[in-house]
Amino acid sequence: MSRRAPAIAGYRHQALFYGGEPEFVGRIGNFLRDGVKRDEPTLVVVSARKIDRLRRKLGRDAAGVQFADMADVGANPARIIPAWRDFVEANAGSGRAIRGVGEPIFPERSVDELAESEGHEALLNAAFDDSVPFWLLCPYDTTLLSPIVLTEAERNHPVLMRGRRETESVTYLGRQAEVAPFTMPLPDAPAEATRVAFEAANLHDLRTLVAREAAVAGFSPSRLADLVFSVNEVATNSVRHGGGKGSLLLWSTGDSLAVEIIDAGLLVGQPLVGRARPRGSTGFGTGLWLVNQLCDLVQLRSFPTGVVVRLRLRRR
Amino acid sequence: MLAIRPTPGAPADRCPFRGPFPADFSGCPSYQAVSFTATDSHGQTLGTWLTCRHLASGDYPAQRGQYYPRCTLGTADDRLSWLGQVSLARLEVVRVLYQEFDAFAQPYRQALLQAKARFLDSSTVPGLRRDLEERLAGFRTDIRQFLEERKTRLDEVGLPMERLMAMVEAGCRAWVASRSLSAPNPDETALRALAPEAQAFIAEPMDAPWRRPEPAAESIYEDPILRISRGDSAALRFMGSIDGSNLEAVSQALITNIAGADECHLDVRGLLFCDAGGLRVIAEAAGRLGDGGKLYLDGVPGHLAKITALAGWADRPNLVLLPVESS
Repeated sequence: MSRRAPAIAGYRHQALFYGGEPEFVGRIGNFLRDGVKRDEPTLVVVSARKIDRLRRKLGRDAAGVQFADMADVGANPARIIPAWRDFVEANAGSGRAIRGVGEPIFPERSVDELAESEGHEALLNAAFDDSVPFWLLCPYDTTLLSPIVLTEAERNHPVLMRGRRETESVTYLGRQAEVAPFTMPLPDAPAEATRVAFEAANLHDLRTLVAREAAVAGFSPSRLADLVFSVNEVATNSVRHGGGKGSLLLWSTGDSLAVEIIDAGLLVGQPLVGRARPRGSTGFGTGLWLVNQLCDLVQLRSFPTGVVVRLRLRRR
Repeated sequence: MLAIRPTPGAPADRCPFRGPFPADFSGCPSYQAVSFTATDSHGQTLGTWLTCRHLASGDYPAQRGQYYPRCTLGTADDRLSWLGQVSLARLEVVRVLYQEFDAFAQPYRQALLQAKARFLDSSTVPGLRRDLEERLAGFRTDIRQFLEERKTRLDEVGLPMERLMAMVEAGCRAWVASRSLSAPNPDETALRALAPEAQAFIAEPMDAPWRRPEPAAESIYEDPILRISRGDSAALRFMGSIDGSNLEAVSQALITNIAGADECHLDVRGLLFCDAGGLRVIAEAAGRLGDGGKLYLDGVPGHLAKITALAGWADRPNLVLLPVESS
């Protein structure tokens, strides 16, 4: 197979608007086939159903593409950037451009998941530089997603594609997009939420309280331990960096518990905190990295009043 | 908190607390509340108190007829080793399952005790045994339903429903046959069908492999939630919880006690909780051992192993995780 010149030079984060599944399969199929022809390492992270369709469309060419189920990789959207980084890092030395297709935003997302997925899209702009040619395509289904979601996609992607037409986004937020996810409002916690204050000396009591609540809510031991560990890490951050103390709210949401930790701190200059795989033993950010791996959803905000971290974990 | 101080001069497995236990008792991390209902000979309830699943009476070896409150898990160190093996999370789920069972069983308890008392008072009166057996049969059917509704959670804590049901069946048979109102000892065969650490959730365990043969070592650090001591076979033994409140002490203990060694063991069988900071200082200590040096963590609880792997520290050449022995 002859080596062709890469289609792009640096990092390109591009939204692709499509109308329904047949167009998805056609357009993405062409994008992937083009990558296979150029012998470019390619990873596709979409739903299992779409993986199946794409494999059938590609036939033998599917062997040249890696697939991962978005439900495994990106149930918590904060785990998607590490997956892309792992893939880019693993292939950076290949001398070839790298291709990706990631569809983190789909109609089945809950309101909170959607907000975090949009934040993830914004942060993708800060996750890579131009040192490695990496073309990341984010498909958006215009027949199923609301106009608000599509408008947000334009703000989060420097390059847009509709049909065969490629344009620069005029509403792209640029570097501003990196801070936007941390100032999005959060819906109020319910009035009946359990509330408790904590400080360094009583983290043990806080863990005991969370463990009891989770056991009463029917958590499995393993998920209970995940929740207790996560709450403790976030509360420890409050104790260390958020004024030495904080308060915790806990409430039940169907098959999950939501826990919110509030302190008087401020989040500065770390847009990818919790999304960078811990390296060496410096330890900074390891806590939030682990919290992202353990929780189903993590909502991190920095308001003028302080830092708010909202965690959500399913019972099992 | 840890409840780590043995009472001077008392047997090492003496319970350091005084019952009955208040509803919000949190003095002992292994505590498992169970209702104890006292009755008169007619089956009338005299009162219900909270006691601990692990509390039994022990004989003083030298003084016949003298008893002391004995912890069936063993010594203070044994209690924490058991807890390290079952995990705080699992015990918390078991506590809630028991609370649910207690609330379920309360209405049956009184009726069954009275039926048994009537039968014991006048066992020649026809129909009383049958009345008792019918009530028990109804109780068993309802227990089965109760357990079925909780099947997943029971499996997760190591108490499979069918094995519990076998204990219930055996217990009911023994109770009908006995001449006493009090509950019979659990059936040994049925109890042995559970893993030893899970047996302790239900009754006095038949075996206690978590018990430590070596005597409690001298503490080099102690606070309300953590004790660090020097072990015989391990450089350091951690019992309790490592978090932001004692991270500095843990870091110091590691720096002072395992410097310069090529190979070193940390006994973490009784480590009930360790945050990311604690794991980091342990990983750093492993790194300080230098090329070819190995820091072994003996008896790593399952969740700690999971966290170590997620943090990317499990495949460090200097750090070797030896999981807790499974039973």
